[in-house]
Amino acid sequence: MVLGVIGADCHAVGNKILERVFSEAGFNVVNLGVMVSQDEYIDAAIETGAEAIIVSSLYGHGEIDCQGFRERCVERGLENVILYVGGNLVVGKTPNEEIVTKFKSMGYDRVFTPDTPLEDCINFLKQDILGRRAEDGQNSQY
Amino acid sequence: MDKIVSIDIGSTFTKGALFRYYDESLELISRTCVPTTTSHLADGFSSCCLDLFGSEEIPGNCSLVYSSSAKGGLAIAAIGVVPELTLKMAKEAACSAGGKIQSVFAYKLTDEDITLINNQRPDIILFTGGTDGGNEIIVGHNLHMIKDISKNIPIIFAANRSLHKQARELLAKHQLHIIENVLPELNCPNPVPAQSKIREIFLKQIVTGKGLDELMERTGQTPVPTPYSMLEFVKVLADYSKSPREFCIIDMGGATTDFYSRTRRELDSDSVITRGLPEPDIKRTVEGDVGMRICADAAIASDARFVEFKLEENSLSRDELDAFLFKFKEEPSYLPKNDTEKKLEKLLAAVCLRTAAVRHSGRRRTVYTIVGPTSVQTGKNLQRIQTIIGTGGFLAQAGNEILKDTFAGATSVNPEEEILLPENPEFFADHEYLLPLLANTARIAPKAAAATALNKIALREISK
Repeated sequence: MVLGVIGADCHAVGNKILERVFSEAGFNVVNLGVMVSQDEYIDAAIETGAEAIIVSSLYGHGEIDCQGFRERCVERGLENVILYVGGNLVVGKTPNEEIVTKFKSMGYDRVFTPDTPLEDCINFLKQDILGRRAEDGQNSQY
Repeated sequence: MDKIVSIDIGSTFTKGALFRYYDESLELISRTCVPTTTSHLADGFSSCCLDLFGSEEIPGNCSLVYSSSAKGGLAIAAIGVVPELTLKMAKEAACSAGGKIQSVFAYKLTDEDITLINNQRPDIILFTGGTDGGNEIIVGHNLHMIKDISKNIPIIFAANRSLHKQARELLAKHQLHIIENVLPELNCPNPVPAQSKIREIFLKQIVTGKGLDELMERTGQTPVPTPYSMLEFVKVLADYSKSPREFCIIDMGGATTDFYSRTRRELDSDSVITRGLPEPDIKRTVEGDVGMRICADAAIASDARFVEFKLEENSLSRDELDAFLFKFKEEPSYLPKNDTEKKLEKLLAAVCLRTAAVRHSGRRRTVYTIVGPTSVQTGKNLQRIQTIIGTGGFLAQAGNEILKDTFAGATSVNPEEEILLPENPEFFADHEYLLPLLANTARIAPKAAAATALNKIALREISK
């Protein structure tokens, strides 16, 4: 999985925590750090053969940064990559359901608001990767 | 051993120097330069020895070190997946090993690409793609494609480790060299195995037939590719010099311009966020389309605005420049005859220097974030470099005025980016064109070679 904080966002602490937690859960984490552009995630995913891209956004401008990501993945040959997004995705008080709907309509497979326990993210990711492998007829490595 | 003879077989000239060896320094006893005998390189080598010793035999108290530029560097076709990742690593490994990039291919190879490679006949194919355990789809496709490449071209496989078996099966009849991945993990560049392999192939396969094999037999010594030797020398200089700690060396020939830089990453500001693959402290780039003779037209075309500015500054006309360039077509070894032509040659050198430096330098842009403006940098920062050493033909004779305005006003394709060129550099000429020769001696006497280069030749002014 490829991990990073998108756009002009330099919140580095959460990114380190995610790297650690996902690695300990057995994922091969390629962490791109902060201020990552859409193309950098995609470049890394192509080169490493990653099955999932996990996008963080903490500073409130996530909506602009995250738009068009799925389309760009498709354009560059990653039609089947699992795409997650999480963090403080919008500024102000927007109900969580609205945020989730908005980002899912942008093509993200799962959308995590700040109250999500990390265990849930891990479980979802395992489940989704296994599901995608089954669809692709690949053997599970877990 | 009390003497060292160093010989460098260049594409145009074969240069030789005889040094007396002291622990701390080398004393130049004599120096010579003869035209390179391209059909049989050993002849030029022998003429050099004749000049230096009065005989073709090298005396017993004298150690030999020599290098060969192999027609201006080996032509390498680099294949990778993502342009900014494995392909970038392939290009860097090729340049740092003394190669010159002939063609590059990203993502999936096409039939047309294979035809192109077969027509261009590179000396080596550097096949990369995928981190270890990474991309197999594109890399696997490319493996299938390159089996149609001529079997005479050595293929270095430095791609995803998972495909080793497939590579061996598909390329069983090729000259296949499987080595460690150039990018085993993202953010962990690994260029050294590819560099060594390129150098090894250079020695084994490419020197034969031109008289170098005969030299190896006669002297019991193997040559080293000149650009590789120079890059190693930059490392030696970096190890032994307290000042300058950061520097560039630029070697401008007729067909190519080589740019070496030594910077220290730890001196970069903490507040700058770097993106892209980590840059090495010591780096070489080769510009195969920027040179003082064969590539003069392309060099002039590389920065039209700067050329215009320089023409105006020197009250020269475009017609005069074109007429001057035309003379190289008829006679590549043409030397400027009058003041106008001398000015034009200086202009040409400035363009070559500027273009090579612009391509070597990193970029920086300002991004406005909620915590204020933040600098984001890609590539190497050369801004702190105060010492630029020029070697080869024209630059060996040039003075500090060559740098006047040379780096001023360079703008990136992306107007928001700043090019990280040296801000306040001083120029030092390798007047006697000794650097490639000292580079050879550094293999047996590194400390003395570095001291000699820094104190006596290139950096005479600084040492005072």
